Amino acid sequence: MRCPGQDTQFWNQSAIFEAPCPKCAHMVEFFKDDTTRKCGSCGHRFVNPRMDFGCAAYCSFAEQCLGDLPPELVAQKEDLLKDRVAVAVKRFLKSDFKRIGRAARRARHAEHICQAEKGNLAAVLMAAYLWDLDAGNQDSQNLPAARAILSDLKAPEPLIEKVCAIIAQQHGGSGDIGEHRVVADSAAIADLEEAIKEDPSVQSSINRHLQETIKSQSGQSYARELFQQS
Amino acid sequence: MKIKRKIIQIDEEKCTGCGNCIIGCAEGALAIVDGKAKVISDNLCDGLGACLGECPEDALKIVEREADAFDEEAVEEHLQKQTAAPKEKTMACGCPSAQIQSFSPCAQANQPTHAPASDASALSHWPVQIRLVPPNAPFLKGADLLVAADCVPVAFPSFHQTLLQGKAVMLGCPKFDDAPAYLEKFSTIFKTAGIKSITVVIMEVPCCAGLPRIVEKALQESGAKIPYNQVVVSTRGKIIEERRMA
Repeated sequence: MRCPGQDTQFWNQSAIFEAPCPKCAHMVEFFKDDTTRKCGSCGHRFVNPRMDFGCAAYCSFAEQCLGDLPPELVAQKEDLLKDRVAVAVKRFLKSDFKRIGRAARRARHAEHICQAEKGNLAAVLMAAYLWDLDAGNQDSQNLPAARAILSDLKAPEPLIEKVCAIIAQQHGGSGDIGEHRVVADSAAIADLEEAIKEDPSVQSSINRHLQETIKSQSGQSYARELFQQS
Repeated sequence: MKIKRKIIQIDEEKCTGCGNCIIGCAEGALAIVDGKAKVISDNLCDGLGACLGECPEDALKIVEREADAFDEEAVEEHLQKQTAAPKEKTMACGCPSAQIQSFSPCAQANQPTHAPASDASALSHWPVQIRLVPPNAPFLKGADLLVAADCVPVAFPSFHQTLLQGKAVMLGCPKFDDAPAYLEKFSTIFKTAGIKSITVVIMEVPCCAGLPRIVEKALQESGAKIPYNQVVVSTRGKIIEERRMA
């Protein structure tokens, strides 16, 4: 028996619906599993408005599926890939919940700082998740664990190089990458959060710590606001 | 302290309570409560979404909202408690629906033996779960319909020979399943499928009482006049009550 969700004999009335063409407002009929349909009036091909492509963030067949999607969704590939990196990092860390928590916090801070610094958000978030995966590794400069995760997820080679360059700067990598400052600042903020949790007296000298560890202007102001709230 | 962060959200309409997501969550942040997956406590969920791909119903998604920060120490403590907790708890008294019973082999040995019944299946169609059977399924047309609670075929040994023979069957659990959806489905079936008779067979446990209520309300809503019988089976596998309801 086929999956009832995919077998049209089990579909109810809501499985077939009409949506207006965004170009000419002509009504176009969609089946729930159509990714796109062409408008019969103006010929414009547009995306099924009721289809949720969020599944591509974790599905192992996303690469094949996204290949058939329209350009506006293919452009989201890097954005979806960052969510798959998050899951892969979590699986890599298994039950090391302290490092899992630190990775999640780093990514949250990096997202805020990156919005002001205008970097490549997807690369920044991937770097934030993968930041300390190779720490303590003899071959840390080459980032074997981070590279393996990105390769397994079939990340494009230029993106792998970009993410690894962001991470590698902490181990003495060459050049000055703006995105590195964003992730380094987010890592410093996550470390400070942990330090305060372990020793609340650190909060009293927070300004000095921020001056010493946070490099970007946006990171400074974000961290001040964050630690004032706590 | 609450912060705005990413965290899992469960669509209860879509969740079937299958529990696959629980396996995907290393922190043990998810549990099945009243037949639906729930986040036990916000501080146990890291919001990274490892559980998303486990859900066959696409009921899970990541949202950004005010929530307690992920707390790794709370996770360790929670997992320790889970490991330390006894796996099964037998209640001396309490809800009979949840009561764990072991039937004594001696009692079974004292049962009178009889000639073995035919071992051929009386099932004439597939699927059998209420949520999977469409109201326009061909096997429902003019059928004698058997609506059985999920536990009945396991508890009642001659289910095929005594109850299922010659009938179309729909199985479900009034405790864990979506009752309003079942009401709507039965109402449509009773209106359109020309059902000849209905037999509702349930267990003696109180939570099973929901199933005849769903069928009765659907009959009322559909306006159809269909002969309707109710059978109650004990947890020891005996028919303890048979009633003609309409």
